[in-house]
Amino acid sequence: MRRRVVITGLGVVAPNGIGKDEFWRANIEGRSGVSLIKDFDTSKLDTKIAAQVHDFDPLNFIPKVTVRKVDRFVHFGLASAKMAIEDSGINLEREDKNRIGISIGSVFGGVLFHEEQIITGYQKGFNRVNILSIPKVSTNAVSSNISIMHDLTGPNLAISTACASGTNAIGQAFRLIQNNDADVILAGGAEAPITPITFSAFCNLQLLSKRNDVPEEACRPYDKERDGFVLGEGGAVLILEELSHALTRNAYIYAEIAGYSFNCGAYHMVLPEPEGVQAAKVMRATLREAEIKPYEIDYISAYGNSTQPNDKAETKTLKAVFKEHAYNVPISSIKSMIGHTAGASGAIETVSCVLALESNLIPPTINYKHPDPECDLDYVPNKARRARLDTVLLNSFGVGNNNACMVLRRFNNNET
Amino acid sequence: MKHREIEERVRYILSESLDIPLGQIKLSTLLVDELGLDSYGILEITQEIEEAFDIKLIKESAVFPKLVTVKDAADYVYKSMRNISK
Repeated sequence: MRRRVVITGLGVVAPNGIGKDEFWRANIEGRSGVSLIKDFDTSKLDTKIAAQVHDFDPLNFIPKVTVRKVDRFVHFGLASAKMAIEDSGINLEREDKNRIGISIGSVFGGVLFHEEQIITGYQKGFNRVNILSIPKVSTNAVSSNISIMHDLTGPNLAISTACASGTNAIGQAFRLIQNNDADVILAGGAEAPITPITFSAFCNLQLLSKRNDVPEEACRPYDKERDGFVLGEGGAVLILEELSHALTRNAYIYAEIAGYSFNCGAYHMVLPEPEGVQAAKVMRATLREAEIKPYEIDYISAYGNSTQPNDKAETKTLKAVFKEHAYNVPISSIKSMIGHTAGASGAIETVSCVLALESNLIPPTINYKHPDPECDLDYVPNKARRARLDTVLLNSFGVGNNNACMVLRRFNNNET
Repeated sequence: MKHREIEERVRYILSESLDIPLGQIKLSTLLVDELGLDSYGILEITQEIEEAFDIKLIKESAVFPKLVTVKDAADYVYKSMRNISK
């Protein structure tokens, strides 16, 4: 029998809340984290809004020396890791550190400092480009810095599969523990893409909502008048642990990871695969591993990014996989509140799914006003909903058609 | 810039970069043995000094690691600046 993997700790830095309690309260109250960008000049851009993390002081989580030497996405990752370790109650000094690994997703790495160095290079000469740009820009800066900080010498991964990075980072960690390569893994994602060049490129790609006059209402997945996603930033880290390891140390178990699968739609670098054939395949494979029938899924945390093509394609795919049950199962997208945090999104959404299971509450899809005949499922519009939840499906579909799905299940001790 | 002023600024840069109280960084403090600078750390400090004083030292980085104390570093910056102004 395969080793079972449970979740025993949560850490999150989201645009609508820092720490699991604040984040969850915001989700249930339907609070948006979207606002006008004030960090750089957006006057020539069509989009002037983003889901930024405000009131975040990295010094509350990370030593001063480290804060200076890493980029903002690493601040989010290290802060999330610290919260997750504390939440899990694990005493790392008592553990075999060769059996503890890290797996962190990120799409862009530390782009802010790198962008600034490009300007320095052109203005002052390339021999003035700062050496810190290499350790700061590296996508593995979160995973490696967590290891260095806590002396964790187990498997170490940085995963970059676009918007599915966070989900794949957790999924690969799940596999590593199942396969006995580690007993504990800090898994999640971190992203800080609200930087002048990266944000502008997204904006010019015409993927972002232009509702600058009402930022908190801009992201509206499945609404007929949705006009694009809102770029976000943040991070989340979860403690994944082999079941007997968690039981031995009397850890609080939030949930069990029951299934995971990933693939690629092999269609286009930006557009989603319109019929969602490969996305459906991943959903089915995930349910199969979890030994769960589609009608047994109690809630779907959708990818729902608020673009016209994605929300339509995802709805089609859900109907293909879930048939009649597609109309019964509650589906919601917390991107309506926290925007699209790219490589962090799958990880932040996993934290949301875990908290939904724990509290039997489904976070809403906010800003849902105008029904779209092509998106006609139950998207839990505008208000959180109480429901008994035992199984949750999480969808992540990234640009470049990177698909990843995961099934989380309420932990049942009787099966051991 | 006066020699004394350069010494103070070098001490300040080291203090900020390494998060060590300024009082613990004396001119006689040893860069490697006491401040724990490794080869990468030396490069980092070199670059911070370059930015602070608007001078170029890195291509002479072979020289920099041979500096033993905080005073040696400040003297080296002083000399480099005089060479530029000449």
